[in-house]
Amino acid sequence: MRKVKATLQDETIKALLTQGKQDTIDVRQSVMDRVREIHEQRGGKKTFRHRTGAIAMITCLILVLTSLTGYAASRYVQILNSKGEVLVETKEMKEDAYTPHAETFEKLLSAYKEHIQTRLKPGELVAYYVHDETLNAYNQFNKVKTEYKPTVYSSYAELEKQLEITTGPRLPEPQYLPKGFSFAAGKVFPSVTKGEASLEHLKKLEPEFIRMAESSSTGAKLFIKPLSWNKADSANVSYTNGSNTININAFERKKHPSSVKTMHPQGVTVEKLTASGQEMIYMEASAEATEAVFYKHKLEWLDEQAEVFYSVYDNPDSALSKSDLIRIAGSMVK
Amino acid sequence: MEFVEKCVLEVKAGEINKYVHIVEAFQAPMYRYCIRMLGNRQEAEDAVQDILVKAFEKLHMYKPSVGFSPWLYRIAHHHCLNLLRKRGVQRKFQSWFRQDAITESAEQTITGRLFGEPLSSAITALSAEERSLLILRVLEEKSFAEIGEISGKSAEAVKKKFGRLKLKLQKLMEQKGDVGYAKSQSHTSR
Repeated sequence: MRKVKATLQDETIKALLTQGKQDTIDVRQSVMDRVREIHEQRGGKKTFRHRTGAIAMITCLILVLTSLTGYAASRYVQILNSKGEVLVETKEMKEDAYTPHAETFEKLLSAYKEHIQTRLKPGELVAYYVHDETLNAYNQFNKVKTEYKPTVYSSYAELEKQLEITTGPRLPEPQYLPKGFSFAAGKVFPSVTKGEASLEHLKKLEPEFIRMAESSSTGAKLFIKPLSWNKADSANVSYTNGSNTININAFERKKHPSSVKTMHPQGVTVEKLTASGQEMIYMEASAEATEAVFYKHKLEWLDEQAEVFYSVYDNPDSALSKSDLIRIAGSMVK
Repeated sequence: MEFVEKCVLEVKAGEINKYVHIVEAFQAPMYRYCIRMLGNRQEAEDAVQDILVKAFEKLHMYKPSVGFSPWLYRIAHHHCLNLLRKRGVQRKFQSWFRQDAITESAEQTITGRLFGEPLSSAITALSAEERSLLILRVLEEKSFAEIGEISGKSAEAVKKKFGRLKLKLQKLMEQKGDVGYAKSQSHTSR
C-alpha cells in the first residue's frame, strides 16, 4: 500500500498566520493628499478638500504656537529637491532596540565575527557561513555573511588616493575643524551592491557553503572564503583632539525613486537646517539615547549631484556644540 | 469587485476624489500583506501609502482584463521585495560603521507577535519571495493563477513552488522542536 505522509495543511498555516491582535490603519487622508498633489502637478484642477472648520482652526493654532515658541525640532523631517521629490527623510523606530530574539542572534553571531576579524589582514574581505540551525533560523535574508578588515590610512592624501583607485564616493576634507582637531584615520569599504560582497553574489555562494559544511567530517561549524573587491561604495574619515572625535561617513547613493530613510530611536530630536546652502538633517541625542546611538550630534545630507550621502557625527560625551558641527559640515559643501 | 472597477473608470475620467473608495477597499488587505512581509508596523503603514499612491500614478496603464486586485498586489509584491532588498544593504552599512544600535530587532518582535512559534522562526528562514507566496496563498486565499499574475510566473510554476514551500516549512517547524505536531500528522494508508 502507498505510504502517505500528510503535509502541513493550509488551514493550519492560516491559523498560525492570523494569531495575535490584527491592527487596522486608516491612510485615506495621507494617500488622498498625495494623490491630489500629483493630480495638480499634472495640470489637473484643484480638487475640493473635505477639511472641517475645526481642523482648519486647530492647524492655524498649531502654526501660531510654533512661531511664538520658535520650536524647530520635530519628530519627522524631510528634505526635498527642486522637483518636490523627497530625497531624505527621518524615521523614528518605536520598538525597543533589542528583543530577546535579536539579542540571542547578535550574541551567537558576534563570537564568530570576532574570531574571523582576528584572522584577517588589513584590506581583506571574506564571506563566511556558520553551519548552525539555531543561528540560521534567525537569519532572514542570507545565511552567507561578510567580514572585512579595513586598511587604516594615516593621512587624508592617502585616503583620497585610495578612493580614486577604488572609484569610491567623493569625501571632501572639511575646511573647518575646531581648534586642536587633526586627522586620525581614513578607511574605505567594499561595495555592497556590486561585486562579490553584494547580496546577489552571496546568495549564489550559499549552496556551495552548505555542501562544504554537510560533507565536512571534522564537525566544523564555521566556513570562510576570501572575496576579491576593487570598487568601494563607502568611506570613513575621523578627526580627534585626543578626547573627542568627529566621524564623517560617505555612502555612494545612486539616483533612486525612493528616498534615503535615516532612522533614529526615541530620545533623538530631529530638525532640518541649512549649512552653506545645503539642506541637512540635524539629530541630537538626549542623555539617555547617546549610548544607544553612539553620538551626541549628527548632521546628514544627500549631495544629489555627486550621488553621495554624508553623515557627520561626534562621540556621545562630546564637548562640541551644535554650531561646531554645523560649521564642520558646512565647510564640506562645495 | 464591480464597484472597484467602476471607481477606477471614474478616477481615470478625472473624478480624483473617487479614489478614496479604492483606498478604503484595499488599505486593510494591503496592510495585512505588508506587515507580514516587512515585519515592521511603521514600515508597513508607509508601504501601504506608497503602494496606493503608486497605483494611482500608474492607473493609466491598468487594463480591466487583468483585474484590479491582482494588479495592485503586483505593485505591493514588488514594492515589498525592493524594500527588503534595500534593508539588507542598509544593515550591511550599519554593521560596518556601527552608527546605530537599531538592527533587525523590530522585525523579529513583530514576526514573533504576528505568527507565534514555531511558525515565527520558520518564517524568518524563508526568502522574501517565499514569504510573499505563503501570505498570498494561505492568508489572502489567492488562486495560483492570480499569484502567477502578481509575481510574473505561470500558475503551474507557482503551484509547484508552493508545494515545495510547505514541505520546507514543515521541516523547519519540526526542527524547532514541534516534533509532536509533525508525528501526529503522519500516517500510512493501507
